[in-house]
Amino acid sequence: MKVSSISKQIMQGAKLFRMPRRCNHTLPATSQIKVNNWNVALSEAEKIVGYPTSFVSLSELVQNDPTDKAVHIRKLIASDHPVLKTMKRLIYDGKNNMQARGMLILLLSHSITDAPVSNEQRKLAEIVEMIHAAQCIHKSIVDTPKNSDQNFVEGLQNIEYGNKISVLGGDYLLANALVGMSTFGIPKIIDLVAHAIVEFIEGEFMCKEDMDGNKIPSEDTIDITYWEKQWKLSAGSLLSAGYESSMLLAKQPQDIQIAAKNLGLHTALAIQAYDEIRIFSHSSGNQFSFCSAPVIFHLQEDRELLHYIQQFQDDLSQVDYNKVFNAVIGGNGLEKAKELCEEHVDKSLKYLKEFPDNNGRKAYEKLLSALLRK
Amino acid sequence: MATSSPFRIATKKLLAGNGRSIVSKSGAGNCTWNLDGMAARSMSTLKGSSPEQRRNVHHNLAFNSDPAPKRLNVMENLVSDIHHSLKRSDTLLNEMSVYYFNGEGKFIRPRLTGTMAGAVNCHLGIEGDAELERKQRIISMVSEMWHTSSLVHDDVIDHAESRRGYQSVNDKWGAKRSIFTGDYVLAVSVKLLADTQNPKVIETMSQILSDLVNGEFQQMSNREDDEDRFQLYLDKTFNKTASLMAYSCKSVAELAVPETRPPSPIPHWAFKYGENIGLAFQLIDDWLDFVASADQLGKPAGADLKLGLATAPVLFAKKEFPELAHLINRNFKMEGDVEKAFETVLKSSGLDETKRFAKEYATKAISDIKELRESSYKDELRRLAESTVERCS
Repeated sequence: MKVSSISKQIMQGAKLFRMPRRCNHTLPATSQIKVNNWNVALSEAEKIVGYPTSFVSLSELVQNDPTDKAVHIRKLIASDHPVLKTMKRLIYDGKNNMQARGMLILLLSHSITDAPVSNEQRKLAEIVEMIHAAQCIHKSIVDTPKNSDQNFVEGLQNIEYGNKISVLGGDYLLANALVGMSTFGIPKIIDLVAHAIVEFIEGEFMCKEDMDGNKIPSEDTIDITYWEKQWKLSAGSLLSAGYESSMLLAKQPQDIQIAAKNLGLHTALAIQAYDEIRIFSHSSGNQFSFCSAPVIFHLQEDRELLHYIQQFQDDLSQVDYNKVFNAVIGGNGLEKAKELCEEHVDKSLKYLKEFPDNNGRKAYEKLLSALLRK
Repeated sequence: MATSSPFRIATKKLLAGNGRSIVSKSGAGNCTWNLDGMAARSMSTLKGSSPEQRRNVHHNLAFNSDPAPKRLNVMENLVSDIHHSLKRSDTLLNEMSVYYFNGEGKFIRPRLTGTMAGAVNCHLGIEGDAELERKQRIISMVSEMWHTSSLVHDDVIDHAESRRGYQSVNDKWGAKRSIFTGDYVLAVSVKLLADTQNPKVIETMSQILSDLVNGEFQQMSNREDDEDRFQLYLDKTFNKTASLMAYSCKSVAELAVPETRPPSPIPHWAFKYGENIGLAFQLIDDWLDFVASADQLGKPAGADLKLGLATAPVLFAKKEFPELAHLINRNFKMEGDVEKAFETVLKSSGLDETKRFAKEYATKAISDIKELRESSYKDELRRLAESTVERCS
């Protein structure tokens, strides 16, 4: 389904029918440079802890199929719903980058026990990845306009079908995550992870978004503490909870649990900053978030540009992205963002020192230092 | 025509059989009333009300009667406790998350769970254990919260415009935020569940979430064969409705029974009761979808049919009227399908068979708990099972 097939009348009345283009910054984007320090460090880590089993649940989804899920996936592919891009990123786009969260948890557990990673730890790593995937999938849902004649617009049916699969797909992953966690026999883990989900959703409600779900910058958002709060909720929380849970599984004392929790938070923030910086390391032409760190730092000193962007707050796709891109490159926003990344890498290293100095820890350190270079 | 409708017959029987007055101050927002008053009120709500509203009246007839004072308090505080647990600084999230917990639900699941807890505690002679009751109450809260969050997701999936007579959450605030709201309610309730500190119970309850999702997928599937189709319907019904009741009942029992070898059979009795009552409940719900609509003078069409769903009355009717197969297979999508299916069902013995089937499950449910010690809670469990079916002649 392409935009042109939608009735002109609907287009005029309801702009929402254009399939939204969204920037979901998460751990390193795979669509860009394949070989970089991060990927290299990640593959080395894999050699140490093995490969986190990739989405066993999702492939089961398609194979043992008493509920015809495969049929729905095929139908979904025929539509053009944003969730497809999300799922592609999560499933097909190479084992390396998209399993980073799980990998980090495995490294940490390996480091603390200095022993081969247990099955329980692997399960935990997979669960954290599942929850992250569920969150991404639920984020892909498109708001549909009201009062539309359903028979008229084929495009609307595609959106609604895609939404349905997104809702159920995310719910399926969340349900499986809970079932998985309940087998550990440690209620605190469930409490931690559930709390992380609560915080993620609080993060989602925090920022004002345009109709496509892109964040609108404002006086509030260009404060870097706002950025840190946002990403603590949206990314740091889950990784923290994963790390702390891993230490609980490994029966570690409380000071290690706390160190792990803080390590998770700062690692997530460092990675987020890294990911946002990388957008600007390549040529312009792509959409990016106006609430990303380089942009925020720039806008702090360029209110005129902020007001320019805000003019289009209903539909940020109308903004001249090249203009903003070049302005950011020309200013010192990028530099400050790199400092921010460095700050969180340093904090992470500090907490990492509480873990035994072995291969696991070294591999983790390597990953962190990969974030400091281009 | 109007005077002989099934609904009126049912009410007359209820009136004839139960002369006592009914006092109900449940948190569901119902006022004090006696049977006659209730019937009168029910009659007057018939005109101009939606099929869903009429179903609510049917349900309320069944579930609002002579509750023990203790349970009254449980229901009253339930809503405020749920609100409290969902409290958050973000005002929009707060507003959206409590939107469906406005006290106007039927609270069937907490009622069942709370009553089962009472019956089991009585049987074991351990009433008055505050810590146990706190944990059992958590299960009641969680059962209602999970039910409600699934309603939120269902409404997004079905593009529902209204629920319980109000604007639906997705209609008011959009699909994406509604999904996140559902996830939020789920996450908060999972935290509460963790607070029971009982891994076994957490494991039991978590099965529900998996069943709920599988049920939705099953609802989207089709089967060719009659027997397959009916089995799919039952599986789906278990997953979507009975599972929550079964595992919640099992959980409150698991919390109460001591660790023994061999393990106590009580959680299993509780599970079976919940399962059978859940199946009976859904069968009657499917029955009501036809009957309540038929009451609306001259406008036939059940909500389930409109959604393309072939429920028990249709599946039974197909045995007498095989031509329904085509309509079922195309999910009643063609023009006139819904009306034709509706009329055919009413002509057939599909509704009677559905009711008979429901009665069987209700009877099973009562037999499942027969070995529990006699108590007012056990009486209530029996009454709940009976009234699940009795609310239709």
